[in-house]
Amino acid sequence: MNMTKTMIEPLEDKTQWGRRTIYLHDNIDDHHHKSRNQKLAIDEDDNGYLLAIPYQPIETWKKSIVITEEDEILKPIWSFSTQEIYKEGDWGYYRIPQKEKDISKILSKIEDEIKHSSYILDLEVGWDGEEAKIITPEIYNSSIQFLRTYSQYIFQHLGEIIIRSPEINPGRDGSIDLSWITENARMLINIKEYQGHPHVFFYGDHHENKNPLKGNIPAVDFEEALAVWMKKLV
Amino acid sequence: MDEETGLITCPWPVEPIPGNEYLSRHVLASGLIKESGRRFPSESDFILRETEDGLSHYWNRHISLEDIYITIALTHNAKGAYKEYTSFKIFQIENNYIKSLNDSLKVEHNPAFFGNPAPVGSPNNRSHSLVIFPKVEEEELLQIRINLATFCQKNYETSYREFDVKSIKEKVVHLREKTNDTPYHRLEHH
Repeated sequence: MNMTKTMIEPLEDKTQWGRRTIYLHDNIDDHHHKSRNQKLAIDEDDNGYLLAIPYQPIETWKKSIVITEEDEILKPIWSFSTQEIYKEGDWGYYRIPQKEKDISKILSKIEDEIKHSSYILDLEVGWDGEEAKIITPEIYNSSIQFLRTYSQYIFQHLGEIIIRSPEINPGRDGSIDLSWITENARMLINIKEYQGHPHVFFYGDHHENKNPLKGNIPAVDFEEALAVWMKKLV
Repeated sequence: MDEETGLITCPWPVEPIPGNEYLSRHVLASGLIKESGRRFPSESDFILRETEDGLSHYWNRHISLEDIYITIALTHNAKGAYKEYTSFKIFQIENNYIKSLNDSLKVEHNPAFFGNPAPVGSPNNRSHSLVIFPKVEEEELLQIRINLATFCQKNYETSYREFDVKSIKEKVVHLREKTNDTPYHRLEHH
């Protein structure tokens, strides 16, 4: 399809939008990646996705954006190309290359586990049969974004390695566990509220406590060394 | 828990738990949360709630497997209803192994005595013990949790305590009808 930008201009009547109606949350404000929740239009062609949103300078953006489809859980698109942005009037147009569009298909097992985990958002107080706290959408979404960001980064930038899917489990304290046990290594990542914001705590080793890696980072940050270590989770 | 809580004096002494004795823990295992093919128990089964001093366990010396299930069945959940005892599975771990996970980790006998009789929904439990996580960085707690879960998974045959929950169905119904007039609430009958 030979697409032009006029085809995807956002419209008030969403029945006339591009192929899908989606919402975009950006990372402009630290710790509040859902601080801007904007409708936008999206269309796709053989070269990937094309997004249209109210224009904002690219330097105010961080690497990742998160797009949600109605009635679906978060679907982030990672590190889009800045060169392909252009501005017309109040609108900015963003190109997301085909390669990135395909990643969610390549990492399909992880996507399957994410879909499976969506029940976590429906858990009520006492879901463990006792006094467990609910998992807030902020913690859940941060966990999913973390998983997608790192798995996609490892594939894109660290040798097209496809890591195994973790088990995504709710914690009685309102946190989320991402847990891997593979032949080479094991890793437990816990995302919980810390000082008012989602925070990532991690521990991994080569089984039996050998060569451990541990640390913590704010959920909105990216830790290259952690991504490199996670290459072992295959 | 101290031997004395308010005006209620616990009749049972706090005893040291020998290293070669076992502690059991109940773990939720129902519905969407635990499906076949997933590792069980998981690390998340060893998370502390904010209000807890430690991970609750049953010291095997002072309670049978059947009585663990009955104690669960007579306990209220956060909504004030009886817990669904059939949703839980029981795992046991040797005290020596638990203590080996971290130098600062403590395993303490912590008998739970709520009165004579104890209130409905809070049966007494002489076997109650706590695995108290040390005041260490969160990442070290992850290491403890991953080791506890791995131990139970690798040693499933000896760690998992299989029990036919249907076998106590009538007994549970009968005990619940008696509210707190049961051996699990009254000392003189226990």
